[in-house]
Amino acid sequence: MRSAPGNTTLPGARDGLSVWQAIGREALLRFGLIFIALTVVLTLAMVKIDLFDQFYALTREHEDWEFDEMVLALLAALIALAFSALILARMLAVRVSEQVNERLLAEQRLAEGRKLRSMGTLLGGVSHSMNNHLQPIMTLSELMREDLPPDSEAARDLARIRQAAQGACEILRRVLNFSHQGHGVSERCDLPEALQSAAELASAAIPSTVRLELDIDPAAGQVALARVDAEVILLNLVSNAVDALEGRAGVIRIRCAPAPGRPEPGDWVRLTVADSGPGIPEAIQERIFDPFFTTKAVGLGTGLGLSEVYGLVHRAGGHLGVRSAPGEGAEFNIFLPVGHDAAKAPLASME
Amino acid sequence: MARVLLVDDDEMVRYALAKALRRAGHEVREAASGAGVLEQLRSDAIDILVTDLVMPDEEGIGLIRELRAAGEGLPIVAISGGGRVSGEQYLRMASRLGASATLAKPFDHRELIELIDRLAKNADR
Repeated sequence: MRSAPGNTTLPGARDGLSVWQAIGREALLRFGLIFIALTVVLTLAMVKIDLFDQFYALTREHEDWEFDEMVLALLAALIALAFSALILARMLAVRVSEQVNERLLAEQRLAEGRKLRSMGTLLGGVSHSMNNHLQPIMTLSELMREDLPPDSEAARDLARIRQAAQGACEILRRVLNFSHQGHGVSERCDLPEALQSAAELASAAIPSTVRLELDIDPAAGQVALARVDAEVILLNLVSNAVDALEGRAGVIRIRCAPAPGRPEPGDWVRLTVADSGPGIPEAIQERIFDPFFTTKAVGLGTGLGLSEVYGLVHRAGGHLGVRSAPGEGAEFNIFLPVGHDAAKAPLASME
Repeated sequence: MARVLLVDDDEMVRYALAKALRRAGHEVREAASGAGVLEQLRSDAIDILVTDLVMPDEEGIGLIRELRAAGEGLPIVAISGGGRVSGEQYLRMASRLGASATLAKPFDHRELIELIDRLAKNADR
């Protein structure tokens, strides 16, 4: 039995669990049943084989004793108690280790969330400064270009400077998507519809050796994401999966279905993107959502795709995680609340 | 031609945008902060205000609120590169408080010029 939601260990709940809470009512009931059943079975068995008769035969002369059965029952009860206590102790040990694991996981998630949030604040500040620095670069290079003959080398170089600045803008836009500070905070979209169109886009862009398998429930529902952001999530995950295949043939499975009550009570939708690649080594699994973390060769990946997904999912009130074992591919699971009302909706309606 | 007051704490941003606006034929005054803007608007007969939103001493948001509260009806263009909260949130707040238009930095200066032309034309009517 898993503990009820109210009973799960929350970080900070240091006063923690009494032994009885840890065992739980159901386990105690089981303990009682095992005890009674064992007692009855043992008693019947001992009466059946006339244990006292045999015992007496070895020790002293047999004599009539009216309480044979009762003494046997007492003996059986003692043996049953010892057995049940052993079983109970084992159950307790398992339960406590489960609780400890849950608490460790919760603390780990919290620390990770804290780390990513402070990184988000940092990146938000950095991008503010960068945006201000990029403004004169873009404006002045363009004004200078207007002064020059269009086919001069200087004019072409200025166009290159502008192009580089635009590249920097694009990086900043994606960084902001991670740090929850991008645009479109209050929009909503029909997730299956957005996924379907993004999948069509993706299937046109991926190598022919990679097959996309779609299983999208059209009734999965609306989520608190701009349509373009829902598409970005899928495209980033698919492009990540394609890269994971490293040019080999493979399959990418995209599943989207309602997930009522998971991971929390309420209406949720689950999006799964799984690939048949080599899997993600456990040592780096906790870093893959960090901005600029990449395993790709220099120049081949920005390390922003998954961090962007992380930011967008969290902004929509969702959760995400990865499951992977070496050689068995990777499975990204995203849970989004259905019909989630973004807190910023009133602001948007003013526009 | 419009008389534009450009408020931004970043000197380089001011320089670049003022140059672009002047080249497009507008008359530009510059200010490095929101302090004293209200007085300047009245004394200099400014047509359009272009203001940054995140500045060290006086926030552009506060400036817009102050101007609208003082009954200033001139068109205001809010520009922002983000800050403590998102740039987009700032821009939304600005338009909610009465900014006529918003632009997220870095933007193409031609967008700003088009905006100013349009706002100036509307104001003439």
